[in-house]
Amino acid sequence: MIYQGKQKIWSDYQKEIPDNHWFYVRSCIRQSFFPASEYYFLKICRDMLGRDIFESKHHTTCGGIAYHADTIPQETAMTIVARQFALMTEAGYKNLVTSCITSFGNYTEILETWREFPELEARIREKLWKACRREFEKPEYVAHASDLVYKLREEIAANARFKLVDKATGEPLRIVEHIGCHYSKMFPHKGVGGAEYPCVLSGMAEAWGGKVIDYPERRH
Amino acid sequence: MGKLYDELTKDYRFKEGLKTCINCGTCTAICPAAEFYKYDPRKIVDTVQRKDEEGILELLKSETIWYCGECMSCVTRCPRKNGAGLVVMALRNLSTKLGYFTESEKGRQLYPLTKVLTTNVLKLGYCVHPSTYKYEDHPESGPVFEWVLNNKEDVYARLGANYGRQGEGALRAIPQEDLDELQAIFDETGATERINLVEECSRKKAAEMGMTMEEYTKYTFEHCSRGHFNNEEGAI
Repeated sequence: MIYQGKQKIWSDYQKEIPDNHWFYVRSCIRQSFFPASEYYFLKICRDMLGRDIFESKHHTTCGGIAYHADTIPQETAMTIVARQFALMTEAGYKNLVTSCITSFGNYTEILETWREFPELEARIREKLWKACRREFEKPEYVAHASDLVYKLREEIAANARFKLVDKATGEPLRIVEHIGCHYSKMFPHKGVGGAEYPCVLSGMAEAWGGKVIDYPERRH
Repeated sequence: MGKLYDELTKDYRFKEGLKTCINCGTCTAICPAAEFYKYDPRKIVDTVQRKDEEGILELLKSETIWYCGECMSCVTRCPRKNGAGLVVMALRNLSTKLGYFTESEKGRQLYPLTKVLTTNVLKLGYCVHPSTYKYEDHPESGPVFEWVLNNKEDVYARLGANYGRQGEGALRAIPQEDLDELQAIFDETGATERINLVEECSRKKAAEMGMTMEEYTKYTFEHCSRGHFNNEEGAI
């Protein structure tokens, strides 16, 4: 088989997603508008598939919406995120899973900026200490909740009572997917399939028997 | 204060977002905001890259820097790994610091946004929260969500949330000690100062426009003049 085109590019952007032990941070938008999606994410991962996903009652918003509405300075957004990392460190976790796609973009952008400008990371550590008397280790891995579900998609398929199939016709249900803007547009290697060919949602839909429908604005 | 360009270079988003723009216009071609607004990120980056001080000053007072949705599609496609969206974030930051944001209609929206979002963060620990989300301000959320808001305790409990209660879970009450830490972070990192500055500049502008703060808040939140969009004649 000639390995080319989309398949080739997609293979360049695979993620080695850790299998277990995650520190979970919630999403302002998903909690407010789709709270059951957060409830079932935890129910499936924890109760059905036995994964360890820890939530601290002390975590807060990451400030991502306030940051992208230009209402708070960059250093404020960074220090709020540094505080979440401190809570993760205190709880003994190294993998961070975010419920929110803008949070995922925010955490990723901050870690990449610190990698490029270590003096900024040092300043944020100082500010966090002054404000909260907290210290932190950076996460070894940051995933969006969809990355984790993608990782577990075959296990979920094996446990599923129903497939994404039209009961009357036996045909696959047609699925329209949309990948949130802040998933891998800035850092393609941080997303499954990169920025141009994200496969994280289509991969789930196909694993569960559905058929993904194309449309002009779709990232693919 | 030094030159405006020099001020921009202090912003880490600017350092990351502007390397060597070749003016190819790919950012404008891919930009979702440019499809609707009279917005051209290529021109913005070109003005800044040329260190055109007059042009930068014009941008800081303009509508155009407020059209970007910060989706960062421009970063994905730029053949030189620039980020027009990051340059725009640095311009907005400088526009705010210098008080120029009140010179544009879209810039003035910073006031209601700052008020709502930072109050939510500091009082509740969330950027968005059903207790402060008013349906009349967001009719686009539709009648089903209006019903959800009118029955929030019951609906959120049924959907597995821990609405307003202690402990873990969706929409839980964030402990006061954690809100105090957020306030300390705001104080330490310049957010409190920023909130006060936006308030002060907006008060001045409201007085200039002959409005009370209540009228100014409503006006800046709701009013949209003709001329912002590609299919509209006239300029703002």
